[in-house]
Order: sequence, then C-alpha cells, then structure tokens
Amino acid sequence: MSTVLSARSVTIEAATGAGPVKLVHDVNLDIREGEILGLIGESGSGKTTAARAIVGLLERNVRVSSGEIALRGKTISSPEVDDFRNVRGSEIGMVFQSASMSLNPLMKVGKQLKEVVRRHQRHLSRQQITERLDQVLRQMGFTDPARVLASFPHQLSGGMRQRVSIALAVVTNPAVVIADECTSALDVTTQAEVVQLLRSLTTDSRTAMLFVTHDLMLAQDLCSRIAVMYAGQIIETGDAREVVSNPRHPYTRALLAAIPTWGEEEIQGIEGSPPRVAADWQGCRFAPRCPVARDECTRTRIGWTPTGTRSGARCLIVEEEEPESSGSMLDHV
Amino acid sequence: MSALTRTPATYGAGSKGRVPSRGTASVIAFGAPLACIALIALLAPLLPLSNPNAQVLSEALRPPAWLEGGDWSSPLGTDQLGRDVLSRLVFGGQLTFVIAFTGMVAGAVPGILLGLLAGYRRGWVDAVISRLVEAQLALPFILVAIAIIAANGRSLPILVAVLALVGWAQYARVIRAETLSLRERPFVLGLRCAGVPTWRIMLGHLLPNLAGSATVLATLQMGTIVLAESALSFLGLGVVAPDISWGAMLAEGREQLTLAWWVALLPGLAITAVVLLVNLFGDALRSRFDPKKRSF
Repeated sequence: MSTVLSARSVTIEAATGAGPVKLVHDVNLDIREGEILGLIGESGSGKTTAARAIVGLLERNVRVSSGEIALRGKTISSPEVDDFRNVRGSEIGMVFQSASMSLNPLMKVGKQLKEVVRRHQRHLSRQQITERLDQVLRQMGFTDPARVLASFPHQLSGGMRQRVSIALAVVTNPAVVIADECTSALDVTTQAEVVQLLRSLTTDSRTAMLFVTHDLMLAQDLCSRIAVMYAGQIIETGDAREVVSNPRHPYTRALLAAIPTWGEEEIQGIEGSPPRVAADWQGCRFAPRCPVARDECTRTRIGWTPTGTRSGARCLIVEEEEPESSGSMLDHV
Repeated sequence: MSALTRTPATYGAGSKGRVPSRGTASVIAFGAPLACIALIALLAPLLPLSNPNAQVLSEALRPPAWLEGGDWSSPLGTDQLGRDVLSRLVFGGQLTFVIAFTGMVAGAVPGILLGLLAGYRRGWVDAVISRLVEAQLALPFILVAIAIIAANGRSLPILVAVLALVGWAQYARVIRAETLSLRERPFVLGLRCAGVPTWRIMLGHLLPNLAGSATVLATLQMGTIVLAESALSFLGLGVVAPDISWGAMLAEGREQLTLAWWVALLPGLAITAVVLLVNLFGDALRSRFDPKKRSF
C-alpha cells in the first residue's frame, strides 16, 4: 500500500495584529491508499485548519509557515505550486459539514456536477460525462440518477444532499477525500448511511480519506487509524481500535472518559478549557488540565514517542513507559 | 444499505401546486399600476395626443376640463405657453422613465461588479473600493451634480452619468456585504476546492445568488433617481427644452402656482405617485426575496 497524502512537520501560522500565532504546530500525517485516517479534536484544536491547508483553502492571513504537505510525493503546500488548482478537484476532493450549503441553491444538481467534471476531464464527450454522472450517483446509492440530476438542491432531503455533495467531491476520482465533519449535521440514521457510503468508497475505489470529526466513537467505527489533536498539535496516533481501547495520552483518556454511558450519574468533563492560540509555548499544552501532570511537563520540550510502527504519543509519561524510545521525532504517525 | 435504495417519493413536490403567497400578491398589486404608467409613457408617440411642444398662446393657462373655463380639447388644461398639460405629462413621463432606467442600469452594473470584486477578493482590492464608496457617500449629491454639470454642460448623457455616479456606491456597499457572507458558504469553498476559476465562481455562482438583493435595490434606486432627476431639472440642471421631464415641468409651473396650480401640481403628483409606487414595489420585492423566507 502506497502513501497517498503525507504531511511533514507542518506548522500553520496566522498573521494577527499582535504578530503571528501558531494554529497548527509540527503536524505529521500519512494516509495510505484505501485508508481512512480520523482526525479527532475539539473545536479550535486546529483540525479544520489542517484539513483546509491540504486543499489550499486557508484564509488570506493564514499560511503554512514550515514543513510540507505532499500528494504522492509531490509538494502541494508551497505557494509556488501553480498547478494547485488542477491538483485540487482532480486529486483531492472535499466534503463539507453542512449539506444544505454545500450546493449552489440556484443551480440544478446535474449542472453543478458537470461543471466539475468538465473542468478536470476535458477529453470526455457529453455522452461520457452523462455516463460518469450516472455511475457516481449510483455509487452514492441513488436509484434514479436522472431525476436527481434534474433537481434543485432544495428538492432533495438532507441526507440526499450530503450524498450529492460527496458525489461532487469524488466525481473526478480523486486520490484523497477530505471529509470535514461531514456527518455531524445529519440525524443518526442518515449519518449511518453516509458513513456506510464513505466506507464503501475507500474499499471499492481505494480512495484515501481524511475524516475530520469530534466524535471519537464514530471515528473508531469508521476509521482505520486515528490522530488526536489538542491545541494545534497531534498528541496521539495509532490504530483506531487500539487508541480507543488502550489510550496512551492522558488527554485521549480524559476524552474517552467524557463520553457519557448508560447508567452514568454524572458526565466526567475535563477541568478547565483549552489554551488560547499563541506564538510560542513551553512544555505540554495539556499540562494545566492534566490529572497526572508534573512540574517538568510545563518546562521541558515534549518530544514524540513512538509506541509502535505507526503509532505514538506526545507525552513525557508515555516516554518513560516506553523503555527503548529516545523521544525521536522521526516518521511518526 | 436498504435505506439508501428507497425511491424518495417527494422530490420535485415543492414546485407544483404552489399557492401565490401574500408577498407575490403585493408585488403584483404595486407592480401592475407601475407597469401601466410606464407603458403609457413609452407608447406616447402612438397615443392620440397633441404635440406637447405646440404653443397656442391664445389658449394659455386654460384650466382642466372639469373646472370652469376648461375644455375637453385639453383635458388637464394648458400651461403658460398654451401647451397641452396632459400631452406634456405623458411625453415627460417617457423621458423620466428612460432616464430613471438608464441611470439605474448605469449605476447598478459598475456598483454590483465592484461590490462583488471587493467582497470576494477582499484585501487591498476591498480596501480601495470600500474607501471609494465611503468617499462617494460622504459627498452631497446636489453639490456633485452641480459641479459636474456646470463643468460639462447640460446634456442627457451627462445627466445619466451623474445619476449613475450617485447610485453605484449603494449597490457596491450592499453587494459587498452579501458577497462577504456568501463566499464563506461551503458551496463556494467546494467550487474553489474543485479548481473552478475565480471569474467563473463570481459570475456564474455568486451573481445569481445576489440577483434578489440587486433587483430590490435597483427598484428602490429607480425611485430615488426619479426624484433626483426631478430635483436637478427643477434647479435647471437637468433636461433642456424642447425635451420634457416631470421635474422640468414642475420648475416651469412654479411661477404660475398662484394663478394656475395645475401646471405645477400635476407633474408633482405624477412624481409622487411613481416614487411611492416604486418604493412600495421595491418593499414588496424585498419581502418576496427575503432570505429568511427562502426554503433552502
């Protein structure tokens, strides 16, 4: 299995009136063919910023200040990449959170899909485009594609709209699909449909997927691997089941403990709130809220500790537990 | 997966059997008389009216037909030069509407495009356009108009240009604000993500979504322009004889106000009626296009 999308020590900075602040710090990611990587984090943890950097949709004052994002080994994060426009859309598709707003309300579904196909596959004839649209909508579970193509977005239900917007993202057969909270706004049954769809997409078309969510249990169910983000850093990665059943980082543990279960009297929250964005910091960002933090946690630089071939955590305690490690920064995730 | 394979029975249902809403009814109620007035004015040359510029001094200041001394040969009376007021009103309306429409279009096109550009590109483009808008809105209209017309002389193209200059800033401001919110919608991000070129996103996707607001604004601006044109003509800066507009008629009738009220009052009433109707029509359109009432 080859690596499709990789991020190497990516740091994303936002220029503010008071100087630059780091939104995402030293992020490493690897997604292989047919793999779904779940990027987990609470609001403001930088997961959406990271996803947007991959598709090149960062705000004007936000930029990738160091590190590189590569698609099949080719850098796509530097501003010199002038064919970025062709990369997005044809190689990377994105699905957004709000299904109702992912489509132009004034344009028929078919026209919107055609526009994207024509943009990237100019050699296709009219007949071939129609066939492709029919095929992709059937793949999305529609039994009557012609009717969907002739509909305006408001004539479709929420779940149908989200399936259409997934179709819009995958109609060009991209190598990677970035799904940003794309099931959060749906009710549970439609969510199940969409999750099923995403799963079959990666198994059938071997598409790699970055699934951004705050729902740890959903990620465990759907994703092959999970990366947990906190305050702009990835603090733990590993096999999805492994991370949920045997979390190493105290934050992941606290997050799992906060999931309400039946018969529980009180939901266990995490004390305090996440730190504000900053230009620089020392030590572990979670330390002030960490139940097992020690003095040195706030003082020393916290390195990355591999806990397996493709797993690891950013924590002093994990570092001590792993005897063979030396806090190497290499090739995590 | 069984849930995925069901055939939804209801798509397309929204477009059938739609009952005209109250919004639509008031659009028609205010739009229809406005359309009638405009139609009569535009068809003036085809109507059995006397020459609006034919002077019959012996017939000067004849009152409307229903008053003592009136005559049905000139149903709304004559002015100080014996010209038929009804005929002048209809022909004057023609020019008034033409000026209002061209002035509106001449202001709307650059205003909408600049607003779209400012809202979508942001950054320095936005800064420049926004400062221009503020500068424009800070200048008093009559002063600008007097300065331009005094420097360039009175002519129809200059009058339209002045009206456009005054109107564009309003469009730019409103369209910019709407574009700012529209550009953050996921569908626009999706288009950018799909590599659709900027001009195509702006003209093909954003512009249709802005059409509602632009139409409402344009309608309301028509009323403002009719009023502005009348004000300019009243001040002697607008339409030049033998052309006729309602504002010019009002100005000419002013001197006869105590002797012959109809000469000034009738064009005044016409201006009032049209501006009122245009504004009510614009308000009706606005509630029709209100995003909160849209169903997506």
